[in-house]
Amino acid sequence: MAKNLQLKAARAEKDMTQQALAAAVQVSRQTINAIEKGEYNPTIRLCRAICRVLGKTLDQLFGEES
Amino acid sequence: MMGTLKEKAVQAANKWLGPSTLDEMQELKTLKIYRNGMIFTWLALMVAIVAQLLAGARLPQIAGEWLIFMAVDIYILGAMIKAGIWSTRRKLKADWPTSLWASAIASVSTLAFGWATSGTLWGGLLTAAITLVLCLVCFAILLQVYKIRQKKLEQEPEEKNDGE
Repeated sequence: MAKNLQLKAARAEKDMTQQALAAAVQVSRQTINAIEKGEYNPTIRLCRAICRVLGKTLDQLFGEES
Repeated sequence: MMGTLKEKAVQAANKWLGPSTLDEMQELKTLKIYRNGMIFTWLALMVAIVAQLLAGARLPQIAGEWLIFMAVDIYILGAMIKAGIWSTRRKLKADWPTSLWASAIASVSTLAFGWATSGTLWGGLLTAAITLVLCLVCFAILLQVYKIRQKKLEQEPEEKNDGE
């Protein structure tokens, strides 16, 4: 699986650590880390929660990079 | 009834042990750990039963292991059929050729085992023949049950929304 660089960039834009994002969406830091490394595919529910916190759309964070 | 029992068990667990602290990824990891543990236990039980039989143990001596092994097998079989799953591998289809192959493998294994334990080829041949017939009968029944179940699952009607 490819790394999720969009998520990492969006998180950096908001000046959030992985820990802070994890706390905001109520998952563990290791889950956010695994998503960014492309090692875990989150459920749509978690995807939406992350998008809400980072103020991005599903496509922007989890769409395929062209 | 099982749903209510399960719900009650979950409620009791939440009450006494507190709610789950796992997120979705950790739940998945836990399930994988349970799966690997189950596979290891299943294999270990099988090895223990075979080893004891080869060492000359009589059936009452391995009754405990055998009962647990059979209970796990029956649970897995029932749950897979209920879920409309025949196999996890594409080549193991729900058809007669695959059933024949599987029955033949079971029969040959029984022949080898019977030969090893009885010391005579005839003893092994008889149990191999019985195994082949029993396996074929079981497969015939299971194939029918599986196809009926899969048809029912595939033909489940769509839910109608309010206003449709």
